[in-house]
Formats: sequence, structure tokens, C-alpha cells
Amino acid sequence: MFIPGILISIATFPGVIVHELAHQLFCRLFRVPVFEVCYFRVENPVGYVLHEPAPKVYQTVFISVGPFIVNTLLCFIIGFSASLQFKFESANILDYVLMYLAISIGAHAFPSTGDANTLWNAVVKSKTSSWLSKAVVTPIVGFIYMGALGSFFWLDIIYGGAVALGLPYLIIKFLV
Amino acid sequence: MQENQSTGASPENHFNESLCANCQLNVYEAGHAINLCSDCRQSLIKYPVPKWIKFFAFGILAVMVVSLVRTQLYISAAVHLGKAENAIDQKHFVTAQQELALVINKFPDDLTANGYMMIASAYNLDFASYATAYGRIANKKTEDESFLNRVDAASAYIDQNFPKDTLMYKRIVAAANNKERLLALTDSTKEIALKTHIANYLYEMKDYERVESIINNVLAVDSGFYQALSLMSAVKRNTGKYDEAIAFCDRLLNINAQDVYAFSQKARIELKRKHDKEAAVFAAKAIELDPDNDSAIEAKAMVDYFAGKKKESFASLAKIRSHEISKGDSTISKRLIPIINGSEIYR
Repeated sequence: MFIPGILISIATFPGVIVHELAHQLFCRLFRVPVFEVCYFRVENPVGYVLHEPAPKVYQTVFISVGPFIVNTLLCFIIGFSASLQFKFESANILDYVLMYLAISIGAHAFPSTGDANTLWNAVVKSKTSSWLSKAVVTPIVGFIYMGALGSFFWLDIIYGGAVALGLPYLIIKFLV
Repeated sequence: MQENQSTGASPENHFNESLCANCQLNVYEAGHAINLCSDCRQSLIKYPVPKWIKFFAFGILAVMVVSLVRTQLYISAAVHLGKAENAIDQKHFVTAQQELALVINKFPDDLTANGYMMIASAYNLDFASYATAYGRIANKKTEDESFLNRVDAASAYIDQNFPKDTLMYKRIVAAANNKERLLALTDSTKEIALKTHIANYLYEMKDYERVESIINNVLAVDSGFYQALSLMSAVKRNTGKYDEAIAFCDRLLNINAQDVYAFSQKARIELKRKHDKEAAVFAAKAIELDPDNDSAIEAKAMVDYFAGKKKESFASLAKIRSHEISKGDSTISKRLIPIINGSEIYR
């Protein structure tokens, strides 16, 4: 079933907010000035962060893929607090709210194609970047584009569901 | 949703490039991609996170804490369920059943736990637990084909122990003491459970040759038929083919790695060939798995008897007899008493 991306973004807006916040927090971590942050709006792109280019390649990478780290972690932590209730078929309204938040946040873990473009221009196309940086960043950009392509097949939502619902139980199963 | 790098401040009238691009008041700090003064740089590095987002995060945190408190109960159940799943994968069905009992105690109607309970109890031949678990989830649906297939296989395994042709079953029971009639009935049924039943009666008559012949036919139809394998191990033990008897026990353990009967039988086989140390190990293993299992207690009683611990041996017999009162079946005590009171020479 095809649902326009903007509608999915509206339905999962908490994830967009966390995504932009993650970019902002990584900018702060690397002491990169931020000029403007839009946490959510009803047009494309649904959110953005304007910041100064980071001085180091690894900083650029972390700022770009920051949402993947932060959203995935938050998705797991929030999902963990509710997922087992679903496993044992005894979830209440709180658990449904938490699971909605977790999946929404997880669904926006993948960096956008805009993030990929930034990374591509700042590292791969840059004349000052080393070959090693380019070799590391190129597959990351490819991975981001794959994720964007996968969103046509609900990969983002599936990812959020897997991290929020599946991962907690898998971890417990393999720890015992 | 995008992370954009600024390419600089918007072009404005009278823009002074030697001053800070943000405030146009101070001299900028050199060495950065965008020309910002020290104050602007510091304030933009700490670009504020809006209060509504902080409240939003606090709200999520509060709900999470409440939920995490509740989750403790579920974590414990999930750990036991995980242990049970691992145990089932390793065919440790006694452990699995014990773990599942803890889960079902907290979540009596859980589909997964009861489904796994059906599997574990089926391979432990615990008919009562199997029936209870089945009753709890009979009307529930799942789309997990792999899980369903495993439950179905376990159900088929336990189901094969029940005779389908009840009329023929009654005829076999009626002919229990008549060898000729039993042998005539052997060819009248194709049902392996009934054939094994006939073989059981012939075993009691010590006609081991005919028992072997019938059981070989049964195992040709179903090489994993529990009752046939266990009867064959007893036949091999009584005919002095101890290694073959042990091999049949190993086939039982290949189906259920924690089969208490198989360990007890191994103990009795080892005792028979005077390997008392090995027998003690198997009997202890059987008792460890299920201290209330009469086969296990019987094996321990025999190990104790041949080790000269007659007091312990008779205490085990008393335990078996107390169990038999509630069960209404005294098969085990009847075969144990002559051995431990010395009226039957076991070896």
C-alpha cells in the first residue's frame, strides 16, 4: 500500500523531532555552531538543522548519522519498557503510547537523503579529504540511500518495529 | 528531515565581510568555515533546545519509568520463557517444562508459553500437563507456521500412544493372559500402539523372541515410537544384550535428552551387568531430573540395594508405594519388591 511520505512523517512526528534533535546534539558535542533548527513542519523536508560545516571528517559523519544512533537507542529503550507486555498479550494504554513513540522514533533513525548529500559533498567530493575518509564514507552514503529506497517498502517502520518489539525479547533470549 | 550545512549568512545590503557574519558588530574569529565572532560562536554552539521539547522528553521519561516498574515482572517471565525455548531446542524437555510452569503461573493464557508447554509435556509424556495447556489455547490463533508445525509434531508424538481402535484394545486386554489369542490378534491390527500393547503382555510372559519380532515390525513403521523403544531396551536387558539395550535408551534420549525413564533404564541395565558405579550415576541423574518419578526412585532403590544400603532401598520402595496408592497402579513396586527382598535374583 502506498502512503505519501509526508503523511507517514506526520503520523510519526515524534521521530522527526528526535531526528533533528540528534543532529543538533551532535553539533553541540563537536562544538559546531547551529544557525537554525526546524524540529517539525508539514512540508518537505519535514525538519532540518542548519549548521556550520564541521572541521573534521569524523565529526561530519557523526553529525549526519547521529539520528541513526540516537533514534535507535531511544527506540530500543522506550520499546523495551513496553515490548514484553505485548509479548505476553497484556499491554495497556500506556504500553501502546510507548510503543507508538518507540516505533515512530525508530522509523526516523535512518539519515535522510539530504543528510547523505551533505556527507557526500563534505567528504567524498572534497579535495581535502583523505582516501581513507572517502572509502569509509562512500558505503555509509550508499547505506543511507538504500534506507531511503527501502522506505518505499516500509523499511523504516519495519526497522522501528524490529528494534522496539523484537530486539528486547531477542536480547533476553540470548542472554539466558 | 534534513541536516543542512549553512553556506554562510544571507546576502544583505552593506554586509561587512570583515565583521561577524551573524551579528555584524564584532571582528570574526579566523580559522573556521564561517566567520563568526567569539560571542556568536559560543551562543550558536549552545543553540537552545526549546522548553516544549524538554517537557515532551520529561513526559516520555515519566511514562517510561512507570512502564519499566511494571516490566520487571515481564522480564522475569521472558527470561524463563527464553530458557524454556533454549531447553526445547536442546531437547531438554524436563527443564523446559519446569521453566514454562513458572511463566504460565504468571500468564496462564499466554499462547506461546502454553504452546511450548504442549511441546515439552508431549515429549515428557505428561498427558495431564499437555491436556491443560491445550485447553488454554485451543481457541487461539497464530500465524507462526514454524511454531504451529512444532506443536503439531509434538501433538502427533503424544497422540500415537493412544489406541485409536478402542474395540481392538478391549479385545487385547481381554486376551492378556492367553498367548495364542494375543498372537492371533497381532495380525488383526495395523496400529502400532496396539501391536506394542500385545508385545507388552508377551514381555510379561517372558516370550522375548516374539516381543522382538513384533517390536521390530513396529519400529519399521515408526523408528521413534517411544513405547516400542523402551520395551525393546527392557527385552535386550533381560536377554543379556546390554550394549544393545543401552543403544535403545540412547535412541530414547535422542528424542528427549532428559528422558527420566531412559536414565532409570540405563541404571538398571548397568546394575544387571554389575557396573554399579555407572548405574549410580544414571540413577542420580534420573532423580535429579525428577525426584518424584517412580522409575527414577526404583533405579535408586536398586542401586542402594546392591550397594548394601537396604534401609535407603526400602525407604524408596515406601515412597513408590505411596505414589501408587494415588495412581492405582502397582507395577513398579511389584517388580521391585522381589529384587530388594532377595526373593528374585536380578543378576
